[in-house]
Amino acid sequence: MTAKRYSPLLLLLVALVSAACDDTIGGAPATPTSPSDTTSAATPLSESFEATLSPGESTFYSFSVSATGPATATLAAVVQPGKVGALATPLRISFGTPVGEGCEISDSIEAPPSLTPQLGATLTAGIHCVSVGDSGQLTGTVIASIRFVHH
Amino acid sequence: MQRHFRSALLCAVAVFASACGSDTPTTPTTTTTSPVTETWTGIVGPGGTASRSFDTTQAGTLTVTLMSSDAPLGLGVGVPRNVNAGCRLTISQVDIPGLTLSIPAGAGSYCVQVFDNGDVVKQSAFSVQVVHP
Repeated sequence: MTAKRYSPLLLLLVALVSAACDDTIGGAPATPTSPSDTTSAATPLSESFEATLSPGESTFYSFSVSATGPATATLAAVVQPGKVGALATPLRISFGTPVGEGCEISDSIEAPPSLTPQLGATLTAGIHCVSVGDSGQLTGTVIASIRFVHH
Repeated sequence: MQRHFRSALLCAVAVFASACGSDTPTTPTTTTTSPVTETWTGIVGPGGTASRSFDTTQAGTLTVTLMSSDAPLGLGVGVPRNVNAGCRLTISQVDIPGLTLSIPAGAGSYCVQVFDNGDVVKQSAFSVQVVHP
C-alpha cells in the first residue's frame, strides 16, 4: 500500500470526524426557546400597605390571589405620625376573607415590628384580605406598615 | 512507509476524535458575594432625615453602624415607603458613632435611615456602614 492510497482514506476519516463534531448537523443551530409563561403564576407577589390606627381600631386591605399557595405577612414598622423613630408596639396582623365591609379573620398573630415573616397561611385562589389592628396596647395613633407575600 | 502511514492515520483520527468531546459545562467558580458591605455618607439638617434603600436576595442579618457623625443622630432600619419615598423604621435608636443595630430579615427591599433627633443645630455629616446578605 502506498501513500497515495492512504491519503483519500485519511481525508475521508478526518471529514467524518469533523462532521460529527458539528452541532449544526441536520439543521440550523439550536435556538433557545422562550420559557413558557407558567412560572409567572408561581412567582410570589410582594405587596405592602400603610394604615393609620388609633387605640381599638383595625383596618384591612383586600387583594387577589391568583393561585393557591403559601402567604406570609409581616408587621414591618410602627411609628407615630410625624415621627421617624420606630416603636416596638405589638399589633395584630391577620389574613381573612372580605365579607360585607369587613375582613373575616381566618389566621392571626400578635407581634411587634420585624423584618422576617410573622404570619403564614395557605391561601386559595380568590379575594382575600390582610388586616392590622390594635391588640390592646396602643395608647395613641400610630402608622403601621405591613408587608405581605402571596401568589 | 506503509507502517508510517498507518500510524499517521490512527494519530489523526485520535486527535480529531479527542477534539470532538462534548461541550460539558464546567462548574462555575463560586464567588461569595454575601455579606455585602456598603458605606454611605451624607448630611442631615435640623429636623431632617436621609435614607438609602438596598435589596437582599436571601435571608440573613442586616447590620448598620453609624461610623461617624458631627452630632448625635438617630439611626434605623426598616422598609421603603410605597409613596412619598422615605423609610418606615422597624428598629431605631439615637446613636453615637460606633454603635450598631442588627436585625434578622428575609429577602426583600430594605432601607437605612439617619435622622435628626433634635441635636443637629446647623447640619451634620455622617457615615454609615451597612452589611446585608
